[in-house]
Amino acid sequence: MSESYDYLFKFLVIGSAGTGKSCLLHQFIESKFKEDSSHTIGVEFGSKVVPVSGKQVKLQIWDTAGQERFKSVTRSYYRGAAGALLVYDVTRRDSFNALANWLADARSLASPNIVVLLVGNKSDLESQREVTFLEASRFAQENELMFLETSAKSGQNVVEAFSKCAKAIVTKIESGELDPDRIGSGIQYGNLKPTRNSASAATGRSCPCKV
Amino acid sequence: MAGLFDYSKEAVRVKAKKCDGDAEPEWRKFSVDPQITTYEVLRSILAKAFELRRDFSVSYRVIDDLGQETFLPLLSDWDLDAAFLGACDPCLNLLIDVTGAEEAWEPEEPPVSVIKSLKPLLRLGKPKAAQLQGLFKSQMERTLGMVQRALKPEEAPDYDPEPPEEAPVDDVCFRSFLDPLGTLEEPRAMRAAVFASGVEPSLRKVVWKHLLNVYPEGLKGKERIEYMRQRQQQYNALKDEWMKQAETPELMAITTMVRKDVLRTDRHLVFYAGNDDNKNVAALFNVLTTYAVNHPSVSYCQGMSDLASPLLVTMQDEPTAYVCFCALMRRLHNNFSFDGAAMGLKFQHLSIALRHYDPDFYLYLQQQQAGDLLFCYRWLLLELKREFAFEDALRMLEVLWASLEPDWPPPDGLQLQEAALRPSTAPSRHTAYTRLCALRRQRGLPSNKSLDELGQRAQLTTGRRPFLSLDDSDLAAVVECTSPRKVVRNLKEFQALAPTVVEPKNAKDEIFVWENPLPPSPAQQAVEDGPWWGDQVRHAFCWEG
Repeated sequence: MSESYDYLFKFLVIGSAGTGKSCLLHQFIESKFKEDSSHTIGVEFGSKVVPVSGKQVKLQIWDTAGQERFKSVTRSYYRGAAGALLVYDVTRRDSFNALANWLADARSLASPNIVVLLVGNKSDLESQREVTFLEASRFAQENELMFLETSAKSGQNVVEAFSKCAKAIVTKIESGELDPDRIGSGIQYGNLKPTRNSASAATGRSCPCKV
Repeated sequence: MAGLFDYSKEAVRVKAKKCDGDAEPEWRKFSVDPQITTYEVLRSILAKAFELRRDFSVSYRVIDDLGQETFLPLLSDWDLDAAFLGACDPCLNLLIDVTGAEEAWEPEEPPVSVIKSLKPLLRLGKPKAAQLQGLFKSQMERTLGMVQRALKPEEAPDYDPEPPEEAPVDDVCFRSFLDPLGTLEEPRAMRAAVFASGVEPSLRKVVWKHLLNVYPEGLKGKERIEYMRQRQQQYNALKDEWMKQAETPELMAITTMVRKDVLRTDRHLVFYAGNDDNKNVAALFNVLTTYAVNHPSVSYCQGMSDLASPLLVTMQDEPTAYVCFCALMRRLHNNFSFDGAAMGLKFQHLSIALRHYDPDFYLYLQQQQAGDLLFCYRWLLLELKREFAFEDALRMLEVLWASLEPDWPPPDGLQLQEAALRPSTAPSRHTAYTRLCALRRQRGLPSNKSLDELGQRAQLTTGRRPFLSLDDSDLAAVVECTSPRKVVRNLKEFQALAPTVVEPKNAKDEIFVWENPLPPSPAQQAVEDGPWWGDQVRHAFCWEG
């Protein structure tokens, strides 16, 4: 059975090495914490269909390697991404300090309209925290990012992070701010083929039994 | 054991001492016939003599040229021969150490746990070993079959992956490539045999050093032992140096990166399992940190821990693993360079090969926006190590290494640190860090200058993107000028092709395509010369923070 969806979004997960990017992806897709997770070399992929504002959205997620050395290649992954989770580790200040660089890369190399959600991961390790919620919120506000703290270990806020980012993209499509037809938008139509002004179409399609 | 050596004695007296933690050492004496005693036999004699039910390591005593007493690890028939030959009169002194082995070996354990640890392999009796071989041979065949089907659906619909005709290279087979003094006389024949059927796991410690080009050409057996001993000592000195030095920001940057990765490298293996203070995890950390400190232009990069881990698991000895790692990195260090040029070239070759062998699949990937093949990055960087179960990966790696021409280090031996760091004639009091600073000054590169900045500056002046484009447009010209190619499917084809092989510049390790000699087109030359900004950043290095 092939899966049905209205949109497909290309998503990136970026951030310094060891911040838990792969574990976030694994938790999102498998709803489990991955023990003995290996560090990512190059890029790994995952995908999942999530319901967002009455639409089925397939997220094609590119989980990238965090180490600086891979940037000559990871930069090519950015092209045509619609959304990104920018991840730091709340227990490691250096991963927070590196955010500005990551963000600059995302904005210059992906679509300029890329929707970025800041993720402070490992929130379960409260006693080792080095970056406060307040400080990160301020950074998010200054850079016009959405922000959540997550724990890939407990699963807290993980689905929310992906959904929230996807929802922001859907909203932008519906308001006309994002044009899925533009090349490099990182958005494709799925087999359910919504139109841009699709609120009524979606209602009609989703409840055929009530007709 | 019966081999190439003419032993003068019919029997060798053996005096064995067993050390087990804090327990009182125990002694046993017996005699063995060197003509018929193999490594396996000796181990079973020792196990019986001391009633050992746990794993143990054996080393033998030698007196070196300076009259110093040392114990060398006894790990194979080859070592045993050396032990018999060099046995200090009046008897061969063995040291049995059971302290190093935490996990008890349960003989009844089914062989399914083979992936968990290498150690059981060394101890299994013949029937089980055969079972195991069958297990991963069939796994390998299945994987190979799948790859074949994926790559060649049209040309070879009825192609049956040939099962290896011969058993893996074992001790007897390996000896046939040595002369009476233990010199490797036929390195290419040895590689061909390994290429055909791999190496018996217990012999990997010996054969891998040859495959990895650890030894200079033409060393005799005894010279190899001395050569390794010197390098092991050199490693210990290099390691002590950074361990003693104050924690500089540079050293901390390295250790932080390395620690992060060794804690998540192959931890599912019993060898690395358990707490983070596992001594083998610490050994892997030491190997990688020593390499990074002593190779500042390469430093540490993710992926290296995956390359070093099988070496440590196989060699079971930290200094030896370091020496092997240096030998491996001599071939692979370019893959980790900041400019990504060597990896870019690999992608080019892969793309060309795919387009040639399977245009339909190539087109499909293009349509799916996957034509850049970036999903293969890990395959190429780690030489497929992570794409197989660990035990299978060991076989795959040795076969891959065997497919390459020998590339001996120079006669003065394999270097364990970068040329610029080697002590000059005048003794210097520099530490690794001060040498590093000096090296940076030499290269005129401020330490805080990142690759990004260099790239951005270059971009401003030329208007081109500072990252490798793997787009099809760049490849098209290259593809057009390529000559017919052939995939090496078996040893005969390998041998038939070998004389015409032209190794791509910068990519001695290319394994996908053997090219027929052809003058490169301008486009191809450009590709092989690396990207346009290559010269600017080729010597750049900075520490990741």
